[in-house]
Amino acid sequence: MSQRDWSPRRTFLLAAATIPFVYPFLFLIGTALKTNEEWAANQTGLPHHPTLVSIKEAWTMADLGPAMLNSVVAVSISVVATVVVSASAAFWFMRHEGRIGSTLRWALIATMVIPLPVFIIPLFLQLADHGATDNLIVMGLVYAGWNSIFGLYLAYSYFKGLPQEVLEAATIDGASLYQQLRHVIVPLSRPMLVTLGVFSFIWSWSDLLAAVVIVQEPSKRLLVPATALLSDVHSGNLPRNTAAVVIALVPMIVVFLFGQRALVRGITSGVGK
Amino acid sequence: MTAIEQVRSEARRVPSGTRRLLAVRRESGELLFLAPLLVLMAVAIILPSVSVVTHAFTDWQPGYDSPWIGLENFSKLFSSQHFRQILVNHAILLLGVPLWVMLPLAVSFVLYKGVKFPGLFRAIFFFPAVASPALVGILFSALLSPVGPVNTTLRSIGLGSLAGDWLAGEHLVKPVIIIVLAWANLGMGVVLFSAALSSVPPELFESAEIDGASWWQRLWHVVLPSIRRTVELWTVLLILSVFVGVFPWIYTLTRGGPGYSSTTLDWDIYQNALNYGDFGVAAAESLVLLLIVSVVVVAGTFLGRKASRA
Amino acid sequence: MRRWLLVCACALVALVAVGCGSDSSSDGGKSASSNEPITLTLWWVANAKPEVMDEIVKTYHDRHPNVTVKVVAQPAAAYFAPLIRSAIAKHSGPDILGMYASPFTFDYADGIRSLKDLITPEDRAQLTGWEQGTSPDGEPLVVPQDAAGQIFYYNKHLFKKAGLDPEAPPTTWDELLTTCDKLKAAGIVPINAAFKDGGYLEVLLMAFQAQYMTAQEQAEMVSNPHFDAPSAVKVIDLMKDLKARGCFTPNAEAIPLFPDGANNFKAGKAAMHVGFLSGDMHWAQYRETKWGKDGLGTFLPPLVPDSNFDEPQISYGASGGNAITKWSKHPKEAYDFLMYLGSPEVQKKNFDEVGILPANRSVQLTTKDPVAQQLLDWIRTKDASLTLFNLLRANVETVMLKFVPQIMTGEVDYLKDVVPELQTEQDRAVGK
Repeated sequence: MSQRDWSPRRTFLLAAATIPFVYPFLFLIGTALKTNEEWAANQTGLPHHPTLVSIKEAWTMADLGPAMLNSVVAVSISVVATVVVSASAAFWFMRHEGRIGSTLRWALIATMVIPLPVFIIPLFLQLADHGATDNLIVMGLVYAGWNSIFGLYLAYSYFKGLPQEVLEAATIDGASLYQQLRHVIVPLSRPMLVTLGVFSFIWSWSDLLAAVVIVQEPSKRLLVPATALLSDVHSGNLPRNTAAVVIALVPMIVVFLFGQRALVRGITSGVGK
Repeated sequence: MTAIEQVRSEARRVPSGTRRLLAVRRESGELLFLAPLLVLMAVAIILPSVSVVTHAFTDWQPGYDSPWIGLENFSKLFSSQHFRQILVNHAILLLGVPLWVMLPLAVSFVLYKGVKFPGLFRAIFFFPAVASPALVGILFSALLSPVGPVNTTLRSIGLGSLAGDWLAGEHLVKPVIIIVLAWANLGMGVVLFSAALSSVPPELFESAEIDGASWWQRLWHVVLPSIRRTVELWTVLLILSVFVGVFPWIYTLTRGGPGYSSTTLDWDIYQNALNYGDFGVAAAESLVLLLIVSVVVVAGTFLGRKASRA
Repeated sequence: MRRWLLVCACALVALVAVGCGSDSSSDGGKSASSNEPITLTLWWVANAKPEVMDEIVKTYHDRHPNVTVKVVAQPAAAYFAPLIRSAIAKHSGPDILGMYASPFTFDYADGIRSLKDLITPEDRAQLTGWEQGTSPDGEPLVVPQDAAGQIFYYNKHLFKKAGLDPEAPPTTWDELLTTCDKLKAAGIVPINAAFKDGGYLEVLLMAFQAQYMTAQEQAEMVSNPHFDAPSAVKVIDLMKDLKARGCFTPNAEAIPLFPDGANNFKAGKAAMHVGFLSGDMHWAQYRETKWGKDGLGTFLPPLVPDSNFDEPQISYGASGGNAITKWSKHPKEAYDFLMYLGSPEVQKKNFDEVGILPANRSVQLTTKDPVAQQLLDWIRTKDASLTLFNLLRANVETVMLKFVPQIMTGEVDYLKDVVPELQTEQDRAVGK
């Protein structure tokens, strides 16, 4: 009888299955560390003389520095606004669970299915009418508007699962609504709020279509569109294009490493039922 | 006993089914908690969606007179040859759904037990699902380029005749997209199925194993039915994604080409509006997309309800 | 108390968001008197020497201190879509748009101001190309800026390597085929090609199609283009034949012309290339390559079989220009600036420093460069028929470009599959 509870054969098979998932990223980094000349001679191997030249070139040619800053601004606003708005709204729905309240809640959550391409053009035109395009704050708030739909669903489900006694105790002690939310519910909901923040970050950071349409002014351009534009315009220099992708991916990797568990928790919270 | 302790002891006597907050005293200005969500959603999704629905019936010239033209945008749309191609494209992409379901299912079943570091594996599979589709699209267009590693490897192992421009062949491009999507979607499916599997009593699988069922039989006859609801949910999400989630891939991989062979509805909407300036037709197309999505969601919910009643 | 803070914060953010206008709108406010400082915003896809444009703008500012021209270089891939489309939809953006002096512009007429009330007869006489940029209802839309045409360039070093006489490039189709064969035998790519983004087939058509066109076709090029004309079909068949013979870069359908295809020729990866007389892919750029310093040659498009002509001809005519947007608050000042761009002084500067051929025919051009001199001689002496440069409306061209790679591989048939789509788009655009 074997002492361990895992099978080397299975583990090995699975490890082999991960190769197609790991190799592309190795290729990405490897190519980003080559010069264009080296890449012409050596497409698939590791770089013989790793260099930061292509990364520097991508950074300056596509103005990735300002673009990253722009993304940080817009996405930070999105994350904060999403969490605040979703928690507030979920709180309201907790207190309005009658016919009207729950119908409204379902109607709002149902809008999640409306695909972005359907309304992006009229959204753009609406914003343009008010001079609100090419504006990072507006972009962040728009992202928050979309993320908060899922946020409402997540926060509401979570709040419902909180221990009733504590909520009631807070009420009786004369706490105002705001205090109930801020000082009782929020501290208890930290894991969910973190999950929501991580989702919000990932969705907003990854977005291409909305950013390309709404923020066109070069100085305000966001990071993912700037990276995509570089590949479009200068398709020949692969090390430079992959370098740009690496730069844009780094924040996602960081957030993934720290937020991975929160993400999994958030996704599976609906599944266990 | 303090007030708090008193309430707590009383609360325990409240039946667990009652989930309302007992002290529902409406305060003035309570709407302020809901207002931000309503305002943001109105601006960011509700009003634009209404705008699209109404403008679909006009000759939409933003900023100018946009006269009502009834169904003319729709007839323009449906009579164009490439619209038919677009529907065919979606139909072919939908053929990927079985692959996108079975692959994560198999992987989650392997991960289920008997593997060292299951968390690490899950993370490795999950990251591609989380990374921005636009960025991953750029990565794949580099991988699949005529001088990229896929072709170089094929040539070096003597299969050079198979090498080609994977994204430029009319009949090649959609199967290639299906495989790229399989790669990108695997992680999410694994996370979902792994969670679902963990709430299934392990005896179910053990007894099947004892009965001598092969791995594949166990997967198909035991695992799949035991997490049926999750599999259905995943399937519906996948079908939806074919209609609403491919834009960043098309933008970075093929731009709808060659010809119209990888043009999807969302890509075509973008092109019609911001390339050709045909805003009315783009709005009509958006409405068609919205209707398709609604049908999928309603059908998915309906089938789901039927299954739970069964 | 705290919740009011929340409300105020929300409101403040909303106000700031709406109040922060977009940067790209042109100088707002009332139309200024001629001495109030104004800013004109100009969008273009920069040429190889954007610093020359900066110098021109600075000179203009020195002479007209109240006018500042802000030049914004946009990426080519995003220029027409979505940038210009969005600006038109938004009714805000630049005052001046770099455009083509051709029917290409008609599909953007929604956002372009007619110049009818601004043009004087002297202006008309100064520049050539007004007619091509005039819409079917008679509104001039574009101030012509430069002229161009298609021409063959070749790498004399590579010719020598293949045992070809570097001073005797091909003049007939048979000679072209022999040249191809010799280059192929020496392991050199004969003709540089890149079809992925589609433009190169258009360049080839423009280089050769005039040799087959009937007088009627030529006359109706703007008003009623014949996509199904035998002249187009024949040239495309000739190009496919060249491909079948291995005269083109292998796998050209997977290579975009900009920047890869263009860079390939500059890097010496092919012996011949069909480029432009000026603007991009032209003699001034090739002079800066290693092989181009002493090895650059040029020849006219060879005679096709059964050509209308007995001698190779040059295709040359109006190319680029600038349009004034409908929402510009300073159309008169913008027009004055554009006519300054068309002045002999600026046109000569652009030729001398960037190699761009002028739309202003009165400019006396001199050059020390033998290749440029050759081009100037041909322009002067040959029957310069109207170039087909971008005579397709923008939306029609978009459709054409989509299908080019498949036309070249034979996956679709130009006449059967593509022409109906072009016609549909043309009818739709004209019917509007």
